[in-house]
Amino acid sequence: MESKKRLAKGKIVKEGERYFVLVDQVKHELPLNVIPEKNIKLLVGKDVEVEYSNPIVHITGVFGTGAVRPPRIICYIPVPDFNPLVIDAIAQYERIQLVANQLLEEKVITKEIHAKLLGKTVQ
Amino acid sequence: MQNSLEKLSNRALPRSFVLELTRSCNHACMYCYTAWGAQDLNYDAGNQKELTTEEVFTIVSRLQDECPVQTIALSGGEPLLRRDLPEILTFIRGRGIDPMIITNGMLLTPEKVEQTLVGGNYEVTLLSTNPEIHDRLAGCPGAWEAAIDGMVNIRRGGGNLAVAFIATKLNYQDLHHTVELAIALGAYALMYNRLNLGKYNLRFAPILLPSPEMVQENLDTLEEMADKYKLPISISVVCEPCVIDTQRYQHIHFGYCPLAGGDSYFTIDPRGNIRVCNHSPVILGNMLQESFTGIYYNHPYLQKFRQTMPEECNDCKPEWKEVCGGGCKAAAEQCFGNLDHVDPFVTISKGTEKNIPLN
Repeated sequence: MESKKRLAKGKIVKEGERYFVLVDQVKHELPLNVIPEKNIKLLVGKDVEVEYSNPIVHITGVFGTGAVRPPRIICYIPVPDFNPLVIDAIAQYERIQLVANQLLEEKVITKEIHAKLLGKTVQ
Repeated sequence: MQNSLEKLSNRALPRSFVLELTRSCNHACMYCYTAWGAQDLNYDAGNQKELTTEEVFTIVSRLQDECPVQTIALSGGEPLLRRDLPEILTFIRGRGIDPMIITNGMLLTPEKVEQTLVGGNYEVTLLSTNPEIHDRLAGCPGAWEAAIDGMVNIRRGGGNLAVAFIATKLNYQDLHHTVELAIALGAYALMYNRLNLGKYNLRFAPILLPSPEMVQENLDTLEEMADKYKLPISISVVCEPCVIDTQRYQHIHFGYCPLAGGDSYFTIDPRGNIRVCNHSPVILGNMLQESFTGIYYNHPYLQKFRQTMPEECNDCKPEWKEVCGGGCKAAAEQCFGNLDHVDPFVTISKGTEKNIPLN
């Protein structure tokens, strides 16, 4: 299926330890386990262009619009033929999630360590 | 004679080196095998001064001038205790060489990861999923938790993580879960080593040294996990084929002593002294005063190191002898003071060791 792309204006915001891209008052969380935090930090407070892959409103990319463009940052991948590096990152994260969940179920690790592995804060 | 000299001068030069940046360490590992760990080895005892940043740069440049250097592993002690580590990493990377930081991970805060990310590659030791076992082996309370945080920070920072597991009697049963934890931490590769004996850790041999059966059990586990998770697993401390069956594994890369040849990782200590590997206690010269190739091609010790075959190996199968070379010669040298003895793991495993008290 050919994906239709559209662009929107957005802004990167940080709330606590989490990062979001804000588009038309809607916040989309940026997954820290896919994008290195240092890359996102560079864009906090800045206006960015957000690329949607298709009408299902999945964000596929965020990149700066300043005079000097920072490197493109991919934050979510809904299409199978997208950047293979990011697909690898997603696959790795899924594997991490799977194995971390197993370790938690088997009581090998605590909830706190499990949360650390998945980049979450414990509730 | 003429032929052997020609053969020697044509020997390929090493591509990998270990740079021990400092003797300082925030751990007191029971399994530590550094040459300076044992006081009775008296290793360069009169000279404790460490290389300056400029001297490190000089040595890296000289090595690169003389050899086709591809990788330099930065170890110690604990290399993160060197404040100039970011500068050193930047210099090495700037010369087109791939650096690897070998660390216990304890000091890898998000800031430290950011400062060292120019290196990009980290090898962190993870000894168990049980904090108590890890901390006991590392000789440092809180080491496990700090190492876990460090590895999480590496992944968040975008660095490459390889995990090292040192198998002892205390932790070998936890290998399966430890490998899974390494995967959950984002490790792209695993290094497995059985405890390698040295003058310092010899005192702990009775409680730490795994039997061949324990190592074999671990290798079975690793074979299954390497296949299941497509995880590259390598072993650098020799698994001698006379005590461990290495033939039945398809997914594990076994390393053997490269006998001071092109695949060796010659080691430069915190003072610039050069040794044949990071386990060896024998100083061959100093990189601030001598050329590497001069040592590599002409040092009489290296010729002996390459040629000596321990007496215990006389009756061994020729095909095993060729790959194994008598096991870890440096371990024998540390424990017995010469190269004529086989790796003590072999004699202890076979129950023929007479010189090491094991009770």
